Parts: sequence; C-alpha cells; structure tokens
Amino acid sequence: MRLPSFYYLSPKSISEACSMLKEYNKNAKVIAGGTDLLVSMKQRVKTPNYLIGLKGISDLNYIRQNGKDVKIGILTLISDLEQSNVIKEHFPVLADAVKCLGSPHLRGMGTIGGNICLDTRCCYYNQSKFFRKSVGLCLKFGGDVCHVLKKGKKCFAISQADTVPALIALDAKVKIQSTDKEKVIPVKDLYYDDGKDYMKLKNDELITEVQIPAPASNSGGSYMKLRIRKSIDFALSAAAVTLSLKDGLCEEARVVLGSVGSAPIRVVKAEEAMKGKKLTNDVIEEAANFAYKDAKPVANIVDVPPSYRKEMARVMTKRAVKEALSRVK
Amino acid sequence: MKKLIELKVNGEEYEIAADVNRTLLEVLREELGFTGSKEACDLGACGACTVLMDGRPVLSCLTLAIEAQGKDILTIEGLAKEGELHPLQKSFVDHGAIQCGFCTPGMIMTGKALLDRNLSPTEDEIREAISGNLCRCTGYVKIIEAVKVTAEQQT
Amino acid sequence: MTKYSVVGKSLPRTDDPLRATGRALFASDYSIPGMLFGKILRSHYPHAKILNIDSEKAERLSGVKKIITGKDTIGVKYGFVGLFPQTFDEFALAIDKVRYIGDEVAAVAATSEDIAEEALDLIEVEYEELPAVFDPIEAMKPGAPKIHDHAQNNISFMLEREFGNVDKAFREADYVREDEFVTQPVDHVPLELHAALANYDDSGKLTLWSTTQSPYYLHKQLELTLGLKESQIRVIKPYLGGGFGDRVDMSSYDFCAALLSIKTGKPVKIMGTREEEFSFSRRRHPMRVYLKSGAKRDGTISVSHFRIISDTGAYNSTGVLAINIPLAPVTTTYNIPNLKYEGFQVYSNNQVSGAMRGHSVPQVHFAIDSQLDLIAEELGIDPVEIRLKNARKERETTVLGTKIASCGLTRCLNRSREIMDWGNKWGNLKEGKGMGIGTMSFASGASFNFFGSTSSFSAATVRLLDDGTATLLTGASDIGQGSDGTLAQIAAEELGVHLNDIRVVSADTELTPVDYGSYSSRVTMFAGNAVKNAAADAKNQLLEVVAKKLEANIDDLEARDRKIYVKGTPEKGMSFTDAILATQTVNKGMPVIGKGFYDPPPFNFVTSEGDISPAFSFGSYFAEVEVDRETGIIEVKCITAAHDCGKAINPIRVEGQLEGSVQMGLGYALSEHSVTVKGMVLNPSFLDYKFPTALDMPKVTSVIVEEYDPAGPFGAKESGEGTTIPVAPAIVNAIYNATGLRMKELPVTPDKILKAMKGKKSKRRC
Ligand SMILES: Cc1cc2nc3c(=O)[nH]c(=O)nc-3n(C[C@H](O)[C@H](O)[C@H](O)COP(=O)(O)OP(=O)(O)OC[C@H]3O[C@@H](n4cnc5c(N)ncnc54)[C@H](O)[C@@H]3O)c2cc1C
Ligand code: SF4
Ligand code: FES
Ligand code: FES
Repeated sequence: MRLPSFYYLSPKSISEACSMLKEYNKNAKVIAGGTDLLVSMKQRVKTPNYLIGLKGISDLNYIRQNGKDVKIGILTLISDLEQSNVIKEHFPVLADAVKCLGSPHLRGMGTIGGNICLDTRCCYYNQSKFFRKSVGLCLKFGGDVCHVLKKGKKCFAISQADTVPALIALDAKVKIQSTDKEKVIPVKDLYYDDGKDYMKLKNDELITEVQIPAPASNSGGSYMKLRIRKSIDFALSAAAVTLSLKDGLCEEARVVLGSVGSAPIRVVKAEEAMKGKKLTNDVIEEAANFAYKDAKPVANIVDVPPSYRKEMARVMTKRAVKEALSRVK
Repeated sequence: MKKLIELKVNGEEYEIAADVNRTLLEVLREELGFTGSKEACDLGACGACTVLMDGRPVLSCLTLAIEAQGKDILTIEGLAKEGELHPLQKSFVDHGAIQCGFCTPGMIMTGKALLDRNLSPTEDEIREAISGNLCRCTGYVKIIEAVKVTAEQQT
Repeated sequence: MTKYSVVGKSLPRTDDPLRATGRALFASDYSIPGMLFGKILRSHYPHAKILNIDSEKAERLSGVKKIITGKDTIGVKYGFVGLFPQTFDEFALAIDKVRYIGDEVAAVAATSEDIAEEALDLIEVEYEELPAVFDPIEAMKPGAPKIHDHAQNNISFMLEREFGNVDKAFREADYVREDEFVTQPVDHVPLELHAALANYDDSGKLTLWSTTQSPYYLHKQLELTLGLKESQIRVIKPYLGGGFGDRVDMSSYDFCAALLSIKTGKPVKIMGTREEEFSFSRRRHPMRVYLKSGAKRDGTISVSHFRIISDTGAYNSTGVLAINIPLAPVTTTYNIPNLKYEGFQVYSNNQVSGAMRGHSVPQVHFAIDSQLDLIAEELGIDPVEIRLKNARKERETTVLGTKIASCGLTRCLNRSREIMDWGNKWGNLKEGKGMGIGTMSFASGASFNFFGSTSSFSAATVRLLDDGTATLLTGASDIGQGSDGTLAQIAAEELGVHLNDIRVVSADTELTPVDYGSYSSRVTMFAGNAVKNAAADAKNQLLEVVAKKLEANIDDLEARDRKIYVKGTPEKGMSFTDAILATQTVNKGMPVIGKGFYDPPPFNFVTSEGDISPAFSFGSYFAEVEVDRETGIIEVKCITAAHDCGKAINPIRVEGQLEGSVQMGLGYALSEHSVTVKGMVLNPSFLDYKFPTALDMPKVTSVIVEEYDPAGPFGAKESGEGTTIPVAPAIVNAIYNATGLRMKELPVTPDKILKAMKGKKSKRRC
C-alpha cells in the first residue's frame, strides 16, 4: 500500500513549524512517530499535501522533574515513558497506560504528542478507499450518513488513546504554541465530545509539552484496559483512576473512562461518590455504577456489542479503584 | 517529488533518489535490494518489516525513508558476519523456530534488540518483546525457545 | 544401532539458514527488469449485472500499458473438482455478473504500482444491482435471489448418505439428543501476501512465480482458463510464507498477471494487500451443524445423524470436498455403526469459502466433541471414558469400508489424561477453572482424483551424482510445513546417505514430476512414498552392481551412512560414491536416476465407499481454562496436544505443527472472526482480526504418539491439518466445565459469556 504523495517539510524550530502550519493551513499535517498518521494516509483517510516532520526539532524529547512536577517533551517516545523511573514511581496511572499501548514496536516509535492528538476511531472510518466506496462515505468523511447510528446527526467515533484518560486523571496540562502565542491548558480541555471534530487545536497550533503536577501525598493511581489480545489491540473499554487518602478516607479522586465516547469521559459523580468516604466495596461499586451510566459506547468496534463495553466501564473502574487504593503511598 | 536520500544500512552508506513518500521498507526492498525485510500488513500490526534503527526495533513500513537518514539501520541481511550466522539465527535454525520463514527476519531483529539490552530475559519478557510480531505457523513456542537458548548461551 | 539413521531425527532443512538470513526469496521478492505492475479492480456490489466497462480514461493515463476485462479472456469457467463439472462456476474475470464484494472485474498493468492504482479509479463500470442473499438458509428458500443459473435453490453441491439402519438404531437407543452448532467464517492468514510474477516470453512460454501451494493444480487451471498447452506453462513456487489451504486454488493474481503478461509481452507482477487477503481471498466455510445422536446407557454411541449447511459464498471452489471430507472423521474417530449424513454446500453473495487446514472437519468435530460431553454428562460418564469407550481401534473397518490399519486414539487419550492429571483435577478445580477434551481423526491424504487426471497422485525422481550426493526432484510444495526437509530425510534414509547429501528441487512444473500439491495432509504419505520409491529405485540400481562386485547376495546388502555393505560385516562393502561410479561404469555412462510414484488405494466418489485415505492420524487435546466471571475473558492456561502421526519423520516439525495448530485453534475458539455484514468484511486487518499474539498463547505440551502405519513411508501419517481440529472443542468443553455454560456458537467471545451467564443461573458441572 503506497503512501499518497506529499511535500515533506523539515522545520528546525517550533515557531518555524507553526508558521508552516499557518501557511499551508488545512493542507498540512505534522508528523511525529507517524504510527497513526501514516496508517491513515496509506488508507487514504488523510491525504495532506504537506507533511511537517517534527523529528528534526531538537530538545522535544525529555522527561524533566521540576521540583515534584514533571514536564514531558512532546516527542518523548511512549517506550521512554515506559522505562522512566520517575513515571513508574510517581505516576502509576500513566505507567500502566504506556505499558499496554499497542505493541512494543509501536511504543518504541509512537510519541506522547501523537497519542494525545490521536484521531478518533471507528470501524467504518479506519478503513481503505475500497471499503468506503463500497459502504459509502459517512459523516466523518463529510458524507451524510452514519453507518453506526443510521439516524445519527453526529459522529460517534471513539477516543481510544491510552495515555489521555491517564493524563486527565493526573490533572495534566499541555503547552500549546502557535505562530504568535503560547498557552497552557488542561488536557481535558483539548477535546470536543464529537467524533468528527475531536480536538480544539487550531490549524497553526502545536502541542510542545505535557506538564504533570506533583501527585498528592498518600495517593495512588491505576489504568485498566480491556482488550481481546494482550498486545497490539486498542482498548474496548478503559478506566483511569487516581485517588488520595487522608485519615483512611478518600480525599480526592479522578475517574476517567476511555474508549466509550468520542472524548475521554470524566465521571464526576463517581468521584463525588468516593470523596470523604472510606473506600469499601460498596462505595466502589457505587462509583463504578456511575461510570457505567456515563459510558456511551456505540457499535463501532467490530464484533463487540456496545452493551458489553458499557458494562466493562463499570468493571474497569472498579478494578482501577481497587488497584489505585492498593498502591496508595 | 524525488529527493536525494542518504541511508546507512548494514554499515554501508547509500545515496538514492527516491520519492519522499517512500517508506523505509519500500526503499530497502525495491531500491536497495534488501528483500529480507518483509511486508505482511504494511500497517504497523505484524512486525514482519522490523529493522533496527540505532539498535531499536522499528517498523519500517511506518517509517519514512527520508526520516531514517542519519540513523544506523540494521536489516536481517546485516546480521551474519563473513558467512557465519549470528547466534540467534543459528538458534532459530536449530530449534525449529522457522517454519515458512516469513516472520523470521522480523522476529530475529526483534529478538536481537531484546538480547542487546537484556542479557538474560525471562520467558515472559521474550513473549512481551515479540508480541508485536505475528507468526501464523509456529504458535511462537519454538521462537521463544530459540531466543531463550541464545540468551543462555551468551551468558 | 537404531533402526534409522536420518528418519526420526529433529534436523533442520538444509536451506533453513537462508530463511534465517533473509536470503530466501519469496514470490514478492522476485523482480525482472522492465516488469510492469498490476492491480485488480473489484466489485463494490455483492450481486450485480455488469452492463458496461469503460476503461478509456484509464488507458489514457500515462504509464498504463494494458487493461483487461472478462472480454479479453477466453470465457471459460474454472473450479477445483473436475469430477463435478457444474462446480466449475467461476470466471477468472467476471463476464456476466459479479457475485460478491471483491469479485474481479478488470486488471491493469502499468509502469508503477502507483499508476496502476490510480488507473483503477478511472475505470468506469456500469452495474445493475441485483438482490443479494447472505445467509445460506435464506438462500435455499424458494424465491431467494438466484446466484448461479445452474443451481436450484442455490444449492451448489449436496451429499446424502446412509449407512447401517439409522431409524432402527434411533428407536433402540436408550438416550437420544439433538443439538445445533454454528461456526463462523475465519481466515487462513498466512503471513505472506499473495504475489504473482508472470513472464510470457517471445517463444510463447509463460513462466509464473506464484504464492501457490499446488503448482500443478495452478498449472492445470491456467491451461484451462488461458487456453494454453501444458508445455507452454511453467509454474514455480518459490519460498512460500504459509498457505493453510488459502493457496490451493488459482488466484486472480495468478491469472491476471499471466494474461497481462501475455497481452503486453512484458513481465507483470501483482501483489495483494492484507485487506484483499482478508476480504477477498478464500476463507473457512462457516457452517451450521445439526447433530442428533443415540446412545446406550453405558455410553456407547450407536447412531448419528449429521445435517451440515455450509456457506460456500459466491463460488464453489473446493466446496465439493468440504462436504465430502467430514465423512471421513465422522466415521473414523469413533466407531459409530449407523450413520446418516446430509451435507449442503450453498451459494450466497459472501466471500468465497475454500480449503482451510482441516477442511471442514474443525466445524464438524466441534459438534461431535461438544455433544459427546453433553451425552456423557447426561449419562453420568467421565468425558475421557465415553471417548475411550467409542474410540476407533486399529485393524477395524469403518462403515465406509475404509480399513484402519493403525490408530493411536486410545493412547493419545491416556497419555494426555495422565499429563493433565485428569484423575485428580477433574471435578476438583476451583470455581471459574475448567478442563475439556477435543479429539480428531484426519486423512493422510484424500484418495480423490479431483481432476480425473491419468497421472499418478505423486511422483518423484532421484538422481545420483558422482560425488556421492543426490538431487531429489519432487512436485510437492514446502509451504512452511517443512516437506522439503521431510522428503529429503526420507530420501536420505532410503539411500543410506546423510541429510546434507540431498538437494531438493521442488514445486516447479517444468522440472519436477507431477504432484497434486500441499493439501489434504497428503504430502508425507503421498509424496513421501513416491520419494521413497524413487530413492529405492536408484539404490537398487547400485545394489545390483555392488552385489556383483562383492559377490554377495543383493538381499544381504545394506546402505547406510554413505556406505553399501554386507549386513553385519561393514568391512565388506564400498562407499556410496564408489558404488555410483561403479554403476555408471558398468552401465556405460548411463546416469543413475531412480523413479517412483504413489497412488492411494481406490475410493468410490459416487458411493463414498472404499479407502477414503490410505491412513488416518488421530489425536486428543486437553485444555485447561480460567474464566474471568466479571469480564467474560477466557484465558487458556495450557493445552496438552497428543497426536498420533505414525512414525514422526522429524519430531521437532511435528511439534511445530501441533504448536502452530494450537494458535490457530485458539483463535478459532475465542477470537477470530471474519465479521461480514451484507457481504462486506468489517475487519480486514491484523489490528481488527484477532489472531493470537505470543502473549495470548497457553503453555503447550506436545505429545507425539507413534503408531506405525504400513501405508506410510517408514510408517508415517499426517500431522499438518488434523492437528487444528481438537483445539476449539477442547477449549469450549473446558469453558463448560468452568462455568456451566454450553457455548454452541464460535467464537466464544467474552460478551457472549457474560450474556450467557445472565441468561442462566450458571450450573456448575460435577
Ligand atoms: C497496530 C496499531 C495498534 C495501536 N494500538 C494503540 C493502542 O493500543 N493505544 C493507543 O493509544 N494507540 C495505539 N496505536 C496508535 C499510535 O501508535 C499511538 O497512538 C501513538 O502514540 C501515536 O503517536 P505518533 O507519534 O506515532 O503519532 P503520529 O502518527 O505522528 O501523529 C498522530 C496525530 O497527531 C498529530 N500530532 C502529532 N504530534 C503533534 C503535536 N505535537 N501537536 C499537534 N499535533 C500532533 C499528527 O498530525 C497526527 O494527526 C496503534 C497504532 C497501530 C498502527
Ligand atoms: S460513528 Fe458514524 S459518522 Fe462517525 S466515523 Fe463511525 S460511521 Fe462515520
Ligand atoms: S508490514 Fe510493517 S508491521 Fe506489518
Ligand atoms: S514461520 Fe511462518 S509466519 Fe512465522
């Protein structure tokens, strides 16, 4: 399968990359590890005229401890995060997530930035030209039907990036640079709940850094991912949980679901259900029940009924809370 | 649009004019004649195209040739030295780890990268390391064994 | 001294180092200067009339050299089983209609792959859509869309047989039960993609390097569809990256590359993509198996009635065989004296089904082994015991009249029972854990002459060289299973030389004697016997001369370890090399060439009587599973795979077959499914088609049981296809043991487990 043709640009700095993005506007895409973008291009899901290679920009690959906060350069490989002692030690929820992303090869190629910007997925979207021509273009391609929800007016492609629920559970922020300014926003504010326009990044904006605040003392975290095979596969349903304890009671909690909506779903009710309480099995069940309610999967993973994925949001949440609890330190 | 691309493969420098949309796999196979790296999915999900780049296993089907410039690329063809099989290659042959042999180059390159960073991997670590390499013939059993035995012989 | 010096040893193939260094050339690795690249245009409709094809725009695209459509062909249909001409139902390029999504409509040859791809978009095909049908049951109903004119009710092939007295047996049975089992379509997924490189030269000769597993068959199909003479074609199978049945049939890549090369006079190469592999190449027949059985109180099964409805998809391909082949295991694994068998191969507008490892037996044995457990439970009998009770024994004759000379089923059951500690564990496992058994028997090559050809099923020649080595020519195809090595071991043993004294030239229709190919687990038995006979012929030529020189009786001579000598007195003899030189001298320079062939015993295809295969393999697999009751995820912990393959010519390769089969069977049981909606495959990728990774594999214990069979070379039987059969039933029976859920539909995905759990207050057995 050949790649479509494109011009390849190799900026030496972020600002150069941003101006290229601005200049070519919608015709350009940045490429980091390429493990998602090149697949989409081979399938002609995306056919940018310009590819802007980020790899030539120096100093975007780092994991730095700033006091207790951590800053991660946007080209940092998933495998570097996997091996990082800082991440393992202080951010177990992220450590879990990077460990089960794709396959070892993909982790050695894919970047944290690419994962954060990972396009939403659907079994009618991540397909070849032949497939689309046979079944017809759907909303995400600018067509006028959704093959999943026949009467749907909105695309429900799913957010399946593994690090994102973990980053949101950690209250992580990203630094965004554009031609004229720089800003820092929470990861959770990056996404619309829309399968088609899933990200709030503007055309000339680049994410350059991930910032994770120091974990509270007495905290723990866990990411649970359900998949059919133990490697390669995306999640069918996933839950990221962080929590902290004070005097044996839950002080703070984050519950974020992956793969059951067009954006990661933060389940505030589940968090509330745990806060101030001792995390008994009953309390955990109750929290998990809220996760179940908030999960909104549709039938866009082949051969897996959405009802199952919804039920699994409960199970993954329950397991993640228990695991996080056992890790509190 | 063709560009001059300089690649260092198996210790040799090559300079070729290739379209910028060529993957490393295509260039290795079609331009440089290194057909040992295989294409089995072309979409990053099987590992048949694995080569080492600066010692790390990468999927050459998802690597732009133009972005492989300046890296040390090692393919399956570069592993045997002066007609002597690399111990891992020998072990694959001796332990029945090769049936059709199509996944073999990718498996061996992945296995080599593992052994280079971990002298004595456990069985679980081997399974994990090759879990992005699909094989339809062997059930992986003898492949795992071949890697394990090589590690044991090295230490 | 052991009986054999080469046979029975786990030796690598002499060319395995080439596979390890990347030097082995597979079809897609070949190129010829100046070659063109081909691509195939396929139908987007499951069923439609072709009204018009306009390729003018595409032809104008710079770099496009030729476009072919059905009109450029000679319009002859092909198929697989020549004995049933009506099943020759497929045009190499569609002419009248398209019958499934992916049906080939046109092909392009251009100076680059990109241009060929671009040209496809410019070919305009005008279709008239026809109503389509995707479920074989619907397809058989009156008024269903008619897919082929010749097929009433869309029934492509049908077989009805009765042996013994079925009605009486049911009346007299103490216990009768009926069940229905459903299996899904799955794919072979050899790692190598289809590739074909055709070169039609100025002398009018077509050479084709192809990813075929049956070059001779392909040769015949090309003769038929291109209208060429046998001598005008040469098919070469280079190194092949797996087949599993997917590559027994002619592919559109083969045909289109050939025709495009003929039309352009240039070499043409076509390579498939993984998507094409999943969506348009052959797949395993999805089947509904209705099974009614009657048993005596003591667990003796006295009668079975099978009704099989199989979805062949748009064309028959190997559909005749898919219906005939199950007759063998159904009558062989267990000794059931009364049998009714009805099989229907039904057309639909789905992807075409074809041969796949075990060819329709995994489907049927899933039913047999599942139901045996149900009967055992009902009658209060241990699952191992009910199998032992009914197991086939050696020196029996089946209801088909097939003579079973060797049978290790009982030994397999006993060995795996012991290894799994069944006696202690069965019934005592913790909640959520379970054990189960699957069994099988499989033909060591089917005795059907599909083509009605007059040549023998397998032939081989062995040529001896002055340096004491031999060149073996065999038409058999090493598709990864290692037949080049196995056949070389057979030749070396028979000649009395070392393995590395044998060079194998195989699977090249110009050079190698006829062999039907690698399917129906026939290679070791058929080609193996042919090779053994050829080697014996060459050896006998030497022995005659050596006997005279040594003044010994020819029957007293032995060839071993590169020497020919008088048995018991190795000093009295000469080296193999000297024997060759002496023979050539005595024969005035005539080369020493041994010839051999093999034909199986006769089988009557019309009555289904006789020896359906010269010998059968047997096996029993025991699985242990653990079910996560919250997620429904099933983890297969270990599988003990015991298999009677007769003499294991190369034990490590037999183990390799068992281990590989476990992976394929595991996928079949739990995760693999070519999900098809209205004829469109939804998961045509390695990402979405869940074939197990190294992390998903259970611990596998391979147990080789060697029951010598007089029909096989050195007593060998099959160990390639049958090995896949027991995996799924073993797992599914273990799931039942773990959960009390009887899953009758494959694959058993976690959502089905949860659903079943909800549906029923799970009752745990034992
Ligand atoms: C077989 C297979 C299995 C996979 N399994 C998983 C899985 O289990 N879980 C998972 O999460 N992912 C999985 N992936 C997807 C992918 O490998 C990862 O998400 C990876 O982290 C993507 O990173 P990348 O650097 O390769 O992204 P790229 O492909 O380079 O980029 C992805 C997208 O992000 C944009 N982008 C990249 N960097 C920036 C930036 N700094 N600023 C703005 N935009 C940017 C690109 O323009 C592109 O649109 C899988 C992929 C494959 C092929
Ligand atoms: S959810 Fe509907 S609109 Fe969105 S990608 Fe899938 S089919 Fe298209
Ligand atoms: S060919 Fe590169 S991963 Fe499959
Ligand atoms: S040996 Fe055939 S795919 Fe691995």
